[in-house]
Amino acid sequence: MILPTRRDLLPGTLDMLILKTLTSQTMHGYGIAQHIQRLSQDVIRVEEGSLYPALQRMRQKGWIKAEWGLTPNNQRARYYTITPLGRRQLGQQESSFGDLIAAISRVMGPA
Amino acid sequence: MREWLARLRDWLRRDQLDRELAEELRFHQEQLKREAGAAGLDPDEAAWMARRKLGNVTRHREEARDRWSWPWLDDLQQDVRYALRGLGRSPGFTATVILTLGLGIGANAAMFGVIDRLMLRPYAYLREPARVHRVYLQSTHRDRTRIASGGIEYTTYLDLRKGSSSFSRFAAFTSGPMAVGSGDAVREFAVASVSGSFFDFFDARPVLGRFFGAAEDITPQGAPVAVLSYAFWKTEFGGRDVVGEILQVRNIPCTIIGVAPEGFDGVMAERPPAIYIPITTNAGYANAQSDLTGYFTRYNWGWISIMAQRNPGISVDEASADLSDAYLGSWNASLALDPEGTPPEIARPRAIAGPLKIAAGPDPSLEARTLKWVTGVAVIVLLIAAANVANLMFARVLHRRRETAVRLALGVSRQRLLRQYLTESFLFAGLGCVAGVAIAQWGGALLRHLFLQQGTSLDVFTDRRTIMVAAGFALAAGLMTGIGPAIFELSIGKALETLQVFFGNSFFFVAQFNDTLRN
Repeated sequence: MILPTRRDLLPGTLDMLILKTLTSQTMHGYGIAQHIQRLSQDVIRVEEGSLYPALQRMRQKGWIKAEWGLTPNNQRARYYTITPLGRRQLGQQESSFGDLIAAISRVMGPA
Repeated sequence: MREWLARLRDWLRRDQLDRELAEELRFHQEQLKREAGAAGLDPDEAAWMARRKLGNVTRHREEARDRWSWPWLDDLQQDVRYALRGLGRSPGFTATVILTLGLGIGANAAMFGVIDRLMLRPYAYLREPARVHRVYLQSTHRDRTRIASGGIEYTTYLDLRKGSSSFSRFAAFTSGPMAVGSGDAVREFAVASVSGSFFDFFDARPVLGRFFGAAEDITPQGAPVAVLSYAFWKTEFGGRDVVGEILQVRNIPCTIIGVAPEGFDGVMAERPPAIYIPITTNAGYANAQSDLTGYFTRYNWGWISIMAQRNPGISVDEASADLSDAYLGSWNASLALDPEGTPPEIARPRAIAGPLKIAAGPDPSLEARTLKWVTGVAVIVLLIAAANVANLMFARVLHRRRETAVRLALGVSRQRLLRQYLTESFLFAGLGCVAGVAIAQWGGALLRHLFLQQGTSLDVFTDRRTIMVAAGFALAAGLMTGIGPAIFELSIGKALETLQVFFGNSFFFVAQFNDTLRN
């Protein structure tokens, strides 16, 4: 099994990806990692070493809430929910991210 | 800010968070294992894959844990615990230190409470406090210059108001005890008599009804109306709707028209009034049986104080000069009625727009001057207390030098030790502060009696300004008593130890030094 080369995320994008993922539904850490990996077609792999510290940081900032719940298989897991503050944060990050992408493509010129 | 609070909350329940994180990571690993198993790997291989994918679990946990671990807070907690244990081990020493510091801090807190009320604390609700003055009148009689902050004739007040142009507002006021109530229920309360313009000086809205104004404050006799203070309304009327009720104030059957907001003391915080009535109501009823016009046409009844709000753009000196001109005119008017009075060339009448608080004014009373002296003494008492405690700490340091040497030898960093000893002295200071506030609360009665008029509230426990100042004194005391011994312990203490090793106790300086401190 060949692992694709790891891509470095732009700083701050992980938070945005997590928040975006949580807008659709409440999820546990593993689910978030899977979701991002699946939607990015395996290009982005969220490392647990960055995922859990990021989740803790965002919880302390009040962007997400954490609650223990049961998975469909009756296992205890910690589920994360986005808060109104988190949604506001996501909006800001999305718009500044859009600006950044537009700026980069301007610099790179027409394909 | 919010984030820091969250981090602090997390720190307090860090053990629980550690456990939860471990469980979360275990769950993650199981999911990876299941996924690998579903892909057709045998269990052993699946477990290995999962472990490899998840990587170093301990490292992940450490990284996430950084979000709630605060090493210095852990250290602090440990230091405090250690210091508390030390305190408990030598109760006599602890009690002596706390009581000594408590007396020093308490004396200062109590003095500050009095000084603050007499000289510093701004009046609640006062608008433009920088431009509101008390009017002081200076004159010379028989070679003695007198500065009056009160006891001024109402006629003079009218003259100053009419004769000056530097002020947007004037108010006359006076306060004193009066019999309030009727029949058996008569009791004495502080009653303030104030001009109708008085309430305009403040940014206060009545909690009930309304304040009185110029229409009710008219010569010769003002309207019989009263505004209650919030505290009086609460204690005497239980806070019910009293507007329209009649309250007998001396010989005035007053209709209650309103209640002042909580904490409103006018400019009489030294002795908060219970009731406010128009000043012309007081004068009009006081003179009802005799001459009703004398108090505002002649100059033979001095009984009021004056406050005035200076116009913006006019300096204090200009305002005082303007007032002085008006006062000279008033002086001459009084001479016209009473040719026997002192001529202005000799009396040299002068008016001063000074601070509202008399103790901070051009002629501070004897009490204010005494107060400064007593405060100086209180500060010295605190310094002596701190020096004594520092001495005790030095002795303790010597007593403990073996322990210190061992800990240093075991590799404790000097900073850590220094911090620990400072924690100890700050803990002492903190406990001293608590003792001091209690001493100030219960021992302050004497000061109150000496410097403030009766009926003044001086509750240290609920006074944030005094508590803050006491905490400040405690901080200073903690530093004073802690830093010296701590540094001594780590440097000179070490040197002494070395000297002793080399020369033994026969080295007379060391021997003597030790003996001195042991005794």
